[in-house]
Amino acid sequence: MNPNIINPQELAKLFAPLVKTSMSHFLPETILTVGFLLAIILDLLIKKSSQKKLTGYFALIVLAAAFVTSWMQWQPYVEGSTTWKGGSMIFPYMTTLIPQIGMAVVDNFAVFFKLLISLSAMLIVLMSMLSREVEERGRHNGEYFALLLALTLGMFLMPAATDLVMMYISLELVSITSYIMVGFMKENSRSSEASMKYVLFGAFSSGLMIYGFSILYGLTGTTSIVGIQAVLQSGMEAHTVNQLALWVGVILSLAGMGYKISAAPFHFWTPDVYEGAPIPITALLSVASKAGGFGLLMRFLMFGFPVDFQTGKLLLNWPLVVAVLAAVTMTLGNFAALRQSNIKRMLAYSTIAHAGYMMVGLVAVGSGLFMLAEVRSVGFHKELLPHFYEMSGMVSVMIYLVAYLFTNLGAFYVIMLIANKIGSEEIEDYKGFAKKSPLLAVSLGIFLVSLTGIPLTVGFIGKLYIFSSILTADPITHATPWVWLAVVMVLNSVVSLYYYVRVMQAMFIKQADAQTAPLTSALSVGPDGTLSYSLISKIFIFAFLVPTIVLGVYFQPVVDFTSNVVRFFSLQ
Amino acid sequence: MLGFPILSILTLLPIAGMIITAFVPKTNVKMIRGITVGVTALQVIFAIVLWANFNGSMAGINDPKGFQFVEKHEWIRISGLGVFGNVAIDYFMGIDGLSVLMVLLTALISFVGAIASFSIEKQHKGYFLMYLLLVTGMMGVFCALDFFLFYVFWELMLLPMYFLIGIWGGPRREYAAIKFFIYTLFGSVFMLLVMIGLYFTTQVQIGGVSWHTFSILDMMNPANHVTGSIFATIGNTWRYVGYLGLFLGFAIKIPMFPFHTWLPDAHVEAPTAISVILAGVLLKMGTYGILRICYGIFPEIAVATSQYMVIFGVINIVYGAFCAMAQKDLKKLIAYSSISHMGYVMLGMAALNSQGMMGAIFQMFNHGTITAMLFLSVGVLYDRAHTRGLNEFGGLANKMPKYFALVVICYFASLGLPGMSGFISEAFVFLGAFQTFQFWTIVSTLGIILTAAYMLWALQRMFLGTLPERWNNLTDINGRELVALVPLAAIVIFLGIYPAPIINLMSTSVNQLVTFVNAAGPKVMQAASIVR
Repeated sequence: MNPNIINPQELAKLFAPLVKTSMSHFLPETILTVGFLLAIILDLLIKKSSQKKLTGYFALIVLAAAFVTSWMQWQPYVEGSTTWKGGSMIFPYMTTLIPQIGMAVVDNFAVFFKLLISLSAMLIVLMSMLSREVEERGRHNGEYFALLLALTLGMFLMPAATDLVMMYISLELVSITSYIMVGFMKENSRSSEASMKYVLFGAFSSGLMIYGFSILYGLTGTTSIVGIQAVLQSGMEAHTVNQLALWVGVILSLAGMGYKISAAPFHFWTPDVYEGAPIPITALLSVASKAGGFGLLMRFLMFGFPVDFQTGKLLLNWPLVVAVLAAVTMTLGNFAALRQSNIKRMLAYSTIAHAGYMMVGLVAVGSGLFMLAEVRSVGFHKELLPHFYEMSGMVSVMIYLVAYLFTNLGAFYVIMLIANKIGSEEIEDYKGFAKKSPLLAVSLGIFLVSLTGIPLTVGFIGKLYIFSSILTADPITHATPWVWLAVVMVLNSVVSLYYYVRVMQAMFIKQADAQTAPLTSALSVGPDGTLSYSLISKIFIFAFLVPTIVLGVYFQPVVDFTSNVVRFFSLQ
Repeated sequence: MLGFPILSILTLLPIAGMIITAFVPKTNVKMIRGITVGVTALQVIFAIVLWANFNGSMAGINDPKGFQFVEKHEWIRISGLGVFGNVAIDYFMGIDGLSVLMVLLTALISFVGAIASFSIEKQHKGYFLMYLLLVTGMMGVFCALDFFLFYVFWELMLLPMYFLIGIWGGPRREYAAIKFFIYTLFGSVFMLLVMIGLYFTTQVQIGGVSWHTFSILDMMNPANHVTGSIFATIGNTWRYVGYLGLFLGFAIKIPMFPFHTWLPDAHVEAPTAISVILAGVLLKMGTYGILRICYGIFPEIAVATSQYMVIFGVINIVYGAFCAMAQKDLKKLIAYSSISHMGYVMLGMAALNSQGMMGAIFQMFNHGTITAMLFLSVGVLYDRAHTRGLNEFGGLANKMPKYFALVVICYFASLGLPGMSGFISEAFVFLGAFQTFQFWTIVSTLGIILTAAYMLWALQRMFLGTLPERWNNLTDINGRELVALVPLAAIVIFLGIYPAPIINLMSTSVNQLVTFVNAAGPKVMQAASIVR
């Protein structure tokens, strides 16, 4: 018997415990998968379209279960602990290079994103149940909520993936599901057009990405990003890695991820898709799917291409590329937003700008990695170790994502409520809205102020931390190489003020006139000309408003939480 | 020391007023007005208590023990992560001779502004909510000793000011409001960057652990600077960048030429009460910030750049005066006269000696009271005539005698007539500035002549000569307007004759600031040259 051929039974014996532990680590994702399938069956069982909303409640329960099980994967940080407890690989396999690498990992970094994504998905489900656009297509509500679960599954996998194949699969799962959801209102030509554009752009960039991945695989012979790092590290020293090919591979890979976070020059789909999609889906794309994209991107860049600790050099000078892209992205987003008349389009460009801001945090990640290597190469890392230089950037991006979650979802929620009643998303039609519904106008005002980044809102805290991370000085040379980027960013936030204020101007200062859209007939207007909203939809605003203000005044919990996420990385 | 947190009460009273106002139905205008007037009157009372308990012999400036009515509570404590280090943000309030005058002025002007707000005709509830928020922001800026807190209060004023101009302003209000907003935010974002740099620079030991801190007082002490950090003390060109970044933010608020263009627009469009607040308090924040933060944290740069600051001060004085002379709109004239008068403040500050500095701070106070009177008087006329064109009036002296008497007081105070408070502060400024910058001081005295010219010319065109027929039914000033104007006039005349109470309040602190800046300046410069 050929000794090289392993008996299938023995193979099964070998892998059974691995699969078993993996499945226990894979619990939230399993819940989502099962929930998705059950939701489809549930949809088939419900006949009346008025009862289709039940699927929504079911989706809510599934998401809550996913949230709780993700929370249970959280590993509390023990002060003084020095052993790597960061994560456990899912579906591991053996290689000669590194003892155990896997398709995905459960560590606090992934858990943080899972919590963030499931929380925003829950809020989106609630938002969808109050949306007129979604309600009007009542017969299809079942599949809507089922697809939402599939989308969440994809986003759960994105920040956890440690293998190029897994990265691609998770990205495609998110993309394909969102194509369908964007085109959900298929009677609406705008929605269909948006979906079509999204498909074309998405197919193109994922094509680029998979090509980049194939080059990386060709160069290193492995699809695991940990493996890639190890091969590059030894290969760089021996000068056996073709630099040009490596650059091409990385930049092509960035295309796919840049597309997900709508970074320039892969942002062209954003305004059309955001405008055409139903508002809850727009909100989901702008927050959750962007968070997943950032999780994926950070892991890809940080783990695939960190520094060579022997020589103190970055394996690839990717921070510079990201810095230039960040500057271009935010400037382009902000200046394009200035001229928009549709508020969804305006917010689309504004999310492009915010992606630019968050990429600044990403630059700080790279910059910090570089500093860390420098410290280690000098040899006195013991005393500087608690500084965790590379972590400041990650913390800032995560804080920004938390801030962005509440603020942006809140803004979209209010816009949805307004659109429910006046049936328009044109800023012109917001004229004099403060008189029609003071609560909504004031809340939207607060969300916009938070997006601008003015103190006492959580948006300011996000910006503050991004600035802090990028202005970090090199511990050895005391150089601050990224001051220019910080200046570009502050100037951009001044520009952004102009278009955010324009909305407030329309709502509070301008008076409604003949050109303002007449109120649609379905709505109820009170005796004093105010719009009446159901109590539940009013209360739900506070789910966004309270965190926006409370975390703006007392932001310690967010920072402590995100800090604990990244502490683990320093223990390796 | 008092047994209760008076600074927090002063700052947060308006917030309490806002909460009460929120529950008043919007049709109950009298109640809404009453709450605001009551709250600001309470503030005045507390300010008087504060004044009575203030110890003029304590210096403050860079010495934490020299501050009075100090309140320090932990706000944010984040233990170490990465380069953020251990983050310490405090709710740290306290005043010294530099800020006590500004606190008194803010309380006084807020009260006067609240009375002047009675002429607001629409959306009363929204107006007074915004007004109270604005008062909190202003008071907080002058009390905060933690840079983070300072920045929060600084930005807190932006939104209410935007809406107050934008909703209740004149015909071009939208343009004026957004211009104000964008200008100020433009300045303050650079302040934010410098603040973060200073934060990384400053590290203090609390209980054996080093904490990065936002405390302005800790930032002033070079011993707290981390070696090699971006704004560390010695031989560091970044300190020039930092100083300029902060200065830009403050200069826009003053407003310093060439960043002054938002001011005439904002003033002309703003309702009377808001013009009063804007000129009376908001502009002072710029100069106060320079004194407290720029001078305190970057003393050697202040010494090195004072020769340029004086030039900008003189440009403000002369250019502002010429512009004022060319105006046909009374409110615009006063707006430009503000620019001119804030130039004196800059001139006095740049002199870097006791007389100049004292004159500058006194001028800040006097400009607050006098310009508030000027804008109130414009409001009185505008409410009746609904126009402010200088050339449309004439012979009002006979028609409105009581009004005329008050106007004469404030115009003469504005042009610096001896016996009025403005004279004393300008005299101090010139006295101080002449010792350091003789040429520029001589040039700036041109401003006095020009001020006299445009003020008297305006007075002549409006009040003397013959009364045009259309103004035959104008009524004289009423009781409510007198309540706002007379106390200010009394203060202006009283301080013109007997300025000692004010001088005594601040002299110790001003001397300390002058000594500190002049001592730190050359020392640091010297050390820098050795390092090079």
